[in-house]
Amino acid sequence: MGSLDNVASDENVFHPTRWTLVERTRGDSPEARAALSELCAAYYAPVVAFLQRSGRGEDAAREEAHGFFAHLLERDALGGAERERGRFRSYLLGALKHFLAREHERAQRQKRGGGSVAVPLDAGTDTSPGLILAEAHTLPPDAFFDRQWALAVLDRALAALERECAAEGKADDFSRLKPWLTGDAAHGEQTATAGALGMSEGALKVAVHRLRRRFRAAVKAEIAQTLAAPDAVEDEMRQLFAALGG
Amino acid sequence: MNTDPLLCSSCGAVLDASAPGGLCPRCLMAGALLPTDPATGPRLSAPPTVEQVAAAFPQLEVLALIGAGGMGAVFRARQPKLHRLVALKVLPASLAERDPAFAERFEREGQMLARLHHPNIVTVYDSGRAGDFFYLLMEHVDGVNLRQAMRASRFTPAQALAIVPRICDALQFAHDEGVLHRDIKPENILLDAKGRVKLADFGIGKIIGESGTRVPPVNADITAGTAVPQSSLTQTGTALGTPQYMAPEQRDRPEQVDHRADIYSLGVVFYELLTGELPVGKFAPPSELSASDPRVDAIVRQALEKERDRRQHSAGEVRTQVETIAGIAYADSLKAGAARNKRRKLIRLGIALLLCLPLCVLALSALAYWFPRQYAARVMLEVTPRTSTPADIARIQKQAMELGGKSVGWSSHKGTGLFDLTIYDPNPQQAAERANALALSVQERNPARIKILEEAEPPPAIRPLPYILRGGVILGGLPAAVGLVLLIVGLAKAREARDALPAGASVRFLRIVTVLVALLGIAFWVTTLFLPREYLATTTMEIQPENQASYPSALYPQFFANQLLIFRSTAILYPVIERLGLTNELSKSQRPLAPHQAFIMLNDSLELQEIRNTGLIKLGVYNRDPAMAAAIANTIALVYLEQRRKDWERPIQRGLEQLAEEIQKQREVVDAAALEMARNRERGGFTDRAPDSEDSNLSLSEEKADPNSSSDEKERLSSYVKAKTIYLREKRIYEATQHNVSDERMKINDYHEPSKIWVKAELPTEPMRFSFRRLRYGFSR
Repeated sequence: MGSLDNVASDENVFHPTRWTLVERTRGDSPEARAALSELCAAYYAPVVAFLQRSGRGEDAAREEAHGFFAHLLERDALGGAERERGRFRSYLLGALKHFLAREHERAQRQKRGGGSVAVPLDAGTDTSPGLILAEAHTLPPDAFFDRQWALAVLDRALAALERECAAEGKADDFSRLKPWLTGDAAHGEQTATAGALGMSEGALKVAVHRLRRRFRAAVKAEIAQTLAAPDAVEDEMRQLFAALGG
Repeated sequence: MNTDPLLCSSCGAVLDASAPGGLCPRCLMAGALLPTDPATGPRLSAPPTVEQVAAAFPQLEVLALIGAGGMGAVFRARQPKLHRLVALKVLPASLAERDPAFAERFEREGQMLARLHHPNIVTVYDSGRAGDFFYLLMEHVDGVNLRQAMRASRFTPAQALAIVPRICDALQFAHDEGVLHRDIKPENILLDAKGRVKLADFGIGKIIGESGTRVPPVNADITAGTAVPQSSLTQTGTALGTPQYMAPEQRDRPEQVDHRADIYSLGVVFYELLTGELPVGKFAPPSELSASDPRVDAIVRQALEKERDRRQHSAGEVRTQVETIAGIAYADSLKAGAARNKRRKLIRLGIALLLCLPLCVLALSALAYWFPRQYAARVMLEVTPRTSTPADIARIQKQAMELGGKSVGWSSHKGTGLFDLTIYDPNPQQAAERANALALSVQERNPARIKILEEAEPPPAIRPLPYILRGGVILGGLPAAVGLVLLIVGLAKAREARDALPAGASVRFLRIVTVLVALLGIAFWVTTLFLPREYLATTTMEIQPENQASYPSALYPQFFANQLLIFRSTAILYPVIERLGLTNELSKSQRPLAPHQAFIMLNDSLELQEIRNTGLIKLGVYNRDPAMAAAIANTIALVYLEQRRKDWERPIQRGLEQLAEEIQKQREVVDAAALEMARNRERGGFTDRAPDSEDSNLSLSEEKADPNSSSDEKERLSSYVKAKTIYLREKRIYEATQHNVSDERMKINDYHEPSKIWVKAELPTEPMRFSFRRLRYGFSR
């Protein structure tokens, strides 16, 4: 986690991102494996949400996600899955679909062998996410996965920023200024917040601006870790923004 | 910030549990997408790298690129000698290749800019050419530009009204020096970390603009909602400014501009500050789009006049106009401030009055320290008989107070007949003597009614704490109560007016008080944990007067009140103490207690409660031993019932005793009469076979018939008959009286026990976990 924070603060220095590490060595070096496992830990939540979305209960989804990551971190699994355009997100979704298809086949075989597996009728009959009977008002599974991914990115960036601020002893500033990250303040908020933080209104504007800039850097750093090419960050950001319904 | 926690305040989207940090994810990502830092801003050509610039400026420590525009870049640098940060603006030397006059013009303008020393203008320290660059070395402003600030949070009208005069100051100063800005826009107005306004990039437009390299205007920076980075340079080809902020004449006849073009640009910035929009076409007045004062509209409109003659004549004039309005607004805010100050004063006064309480206590303890020590000697008296009425006891207490004079205090055990008299005296010996003398004189005044239970002994030094506390509460209580009311009113008003609470001493005080109260509460609670557990045993009894006819219902409450006092009286509790041996049981040591000590303890451990309108009372007894608690409760109930029976019987018994006395007397009278009668009979020699029977007259008449009877005999006979008559009468009275006795005895047996025990106390299983009583007695014993 430590290296992530560094990236957020000194973005001008080029670090090989985790995903480049994984890609370059095809997951063979120990650093690459560590990087991959860190990436997996970071994006555990979208995978679980995706599994839940395809009809599993919470516990079942966690269990399956666990199995999936275990499978992914096995040595030979990396070479098998197809990587798309150097994005960890696309790779993970592809691998997940692949994994689910294979799991499904295995489950069918076991069924024939007499083992009884409790699979919910509506969703479990076909685990390929593309064929799930989605409710009309919900997102298609891929878009849902991307949305969860975007949420995870924001969550991690916020957490990283909060840690940074706390390390600088500005945890209070962060919690009070945090709402401004999404837009303008309600009338009268500025004065009250500035008063509470003991700064002038002008200084508050400066502080808000700086916090936004740092948040931006944190999001970018977070996203960069999942990409092979650093200049694709903007594009990935736009995609995630679109996934959030923007 | 969100008024409704479920809605995003910016886009109104519904937020669910997945929203990171409780913020709208869409708006967060949108915020992250907004490019304001140099790496992502739109740029026409790549800025030079830090290394390139550092190579050209060996005297500086070039730290980082902080802004880049179309034609130049700004670096943060350090002047090691002066230990100060500077901003280094560099222009590529290629400009000079295109325009041979550039170098000369750059030098001339640089000299002019270096003359502009004003607190609201970014100072230029140096300018010139170094290596491949023309450069300007400037004051480093640690802050943001107005564009970034507007994006960070919208300006309130008040904030805008505060900023514009500062810009006017800077402009007026520069205009007086003969320098036009030519490119006023939010990007060129900086706010430093302390909120100060600084105008940057004076005349840069002129330096570059006259180079004649006209490129079609680039206006992406405003219309696309993206910003040119901090301290950006005027981009090549925007002629003499940025189109949206440019005065019409500046666009059409750039060579003829004067200071009024700057005033137009200032008008645009002002409009944008107020409304967040640009005044395009037939623009709406600012007060329609924002909460700004309608009087501002005229100022903005005048500054934005297409004909420059109609605009304000100088930046100073704009400033005066704005400050007039701000002054009025200021007066309004002063009024509001005065009201707020009033509320704050109310709160402060409330707090100050509240403080009276502890201060009075403190002052009193200081006084107690300085004044001569008093010693308190105490005697304990009991009013007898045990059936004395409360009014009677109160009368005696009052008398004792009068006898004792000034320095006497008393406390009584309610409804019991026991009371203390305390004498205060600077001399312990004397205090004890006076107390004992007082007790004796009370006893003399009420012969046979006062029992002295404890004599006073020379007391140890007084423990003044309770008296100080009591005095402090009496002195400080009223102001503190008033203060509390004021405080509550003030806080309520402040809440109504949505004051931000004063972050001053009063709030700190409130916080401290709250914390102290909470700590006291916790300490209180913890203390109760360590106090010995007590059990509460309860009986429920019904109480009725024996003769309900004689008790009109109006007197019932009185009856009940009396009965509740009777429960606590010595008449009930002494027999209970005796019966249960409580002098030993209640004693904490091996030595048995004096009965009155046990009585006081027992009285304190009683809890009596009338259940309204039912004729029932609940009698509760606290004790550390559950069995003892139940036993005491039941015994009290029993003794009470017995006492009630005795009360019923007492007048009858007294009647019986009187009757017995009467019988005794009558007996003697009868005996005397019988003796008299016998004597008379003997003297007469009569043979009255039945002297006790009424028909003795018969034998008398027989004797009467005797002819030989002399007058003497007749006399003897008559006196005998008289004596017998008397005897018989007295005997009848005697017998009747004896009959009355059996009647009275029957009455006693007629007692029908109107009061009864409904629920007997059972063994309590759970100790009382929390009670003030436990705290009080837990400390005193």
